Amino acid sequence: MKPAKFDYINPKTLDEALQALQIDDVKLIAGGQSLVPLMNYRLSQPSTIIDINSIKELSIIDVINETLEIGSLVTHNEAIKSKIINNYFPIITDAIGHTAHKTIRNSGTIGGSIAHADPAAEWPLLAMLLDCDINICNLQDNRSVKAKEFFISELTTDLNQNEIIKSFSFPLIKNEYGWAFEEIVKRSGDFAIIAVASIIEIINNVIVEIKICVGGVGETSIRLSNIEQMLKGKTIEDSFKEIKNDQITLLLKPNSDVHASAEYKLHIAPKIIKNVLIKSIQNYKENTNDKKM
Amino acid sequence: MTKKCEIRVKVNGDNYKETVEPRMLASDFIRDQLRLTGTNVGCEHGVCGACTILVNGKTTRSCLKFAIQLDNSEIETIENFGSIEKLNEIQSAFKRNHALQCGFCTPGFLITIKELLETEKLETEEEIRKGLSGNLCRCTGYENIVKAVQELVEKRKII
Repeated sequence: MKPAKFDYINPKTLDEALQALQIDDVKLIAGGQSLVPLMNYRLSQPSTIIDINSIKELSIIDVINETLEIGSLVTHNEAIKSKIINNYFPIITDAIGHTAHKTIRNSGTIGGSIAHADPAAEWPLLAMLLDCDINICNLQDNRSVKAKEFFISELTTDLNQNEIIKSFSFPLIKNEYGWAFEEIVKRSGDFAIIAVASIIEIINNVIVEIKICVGGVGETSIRLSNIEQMLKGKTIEDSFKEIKNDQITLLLKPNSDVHASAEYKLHIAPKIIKNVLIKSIQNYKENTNDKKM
Repeated sequence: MTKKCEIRVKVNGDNYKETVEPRMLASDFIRDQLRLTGTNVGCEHGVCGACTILVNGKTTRSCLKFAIQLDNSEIETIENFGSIEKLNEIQSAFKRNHALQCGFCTPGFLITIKELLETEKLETEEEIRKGLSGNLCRCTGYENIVKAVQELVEKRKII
């Protein structure tokens, strides 16, 4: 239960960190809340650790050009406490409150969580839900990847060995909307057995845009694009009950694990997904009523 | 051969200048090098909460940090709480409510509760249990730990 030997580099700038990434067999550490357990078990034995915690520019939270920018080093608790994030995306504040425990959230970061790409984690789910752009750089170049293309499989992403995630761009939502997030866990703070989030944009009682994303039931978080298509253009009075359970579960590919069987996950998925849709509409109504008053 | 590094830390008000190997966990550094053995090590992979310490005022699992990462930080461990002769408020509440039995998880709980009392409303039992959910106790069944926290919340000035 002790990590294997490694060298430690603590760069002060992004450039220094990118230079250090040229070494073979290196690993970046941010919060270390997933990496260090793997190192303690010696499942991961990097020869060099690059600690990026001193790179100040990775800790921004700001709204620039109609997008919310969150630096990759922002911790879960910093995100929860951020008034800017809560103002534009209360769903982030709420969902990240479900990430692990307060102590883990003091260290764990958005960048670490998304680069780790656990399919049941909240940040990857939110990135998929909100069509987030992942801003990546290497020594020569910058590039941005959509969340949909970034997450390849369980714990596997599009990130290359010589690259660092700088920040995440969440496009602001243009219309009035409602949101909801729910997850099923055995104990508070555990990874979700299933997690569901939705954002429903509404004009004159018509759903003009809808995003539904489910975590824990596949190799990555999954957008229910078939259901999104069905509901787009419908009025909010149109009942979600018309959607059949097998349509809801069509795109889900859960595996059985120690916490729950695949059958169980498919059994509870329609219930929790419908619930989240209904709650999103309720949330929209509450928000618009608040404004009228 | 990995290079050893020098770190400076302030632990419970005392300054230390120490040499550490990069792979040394903060938990081992505190226990074996500083000989502050009040911090317990349980699971060593961030699940049990026994090794919780305060780093710059925030709770941290010391088994999930390397000692080298503590350079230039202020640490508080359980040794900075009360003494056997004079328990601090959280420790007294634990004693009154019989919130410990074997005591192995207790340092982690006490440190966690200090942060919870300073930062969370803890208005309901559910909130208290959620706050404590990152720490495992195999003796008490948690009931008396929750009671101790409830007592502390009642006494606390409103945050």
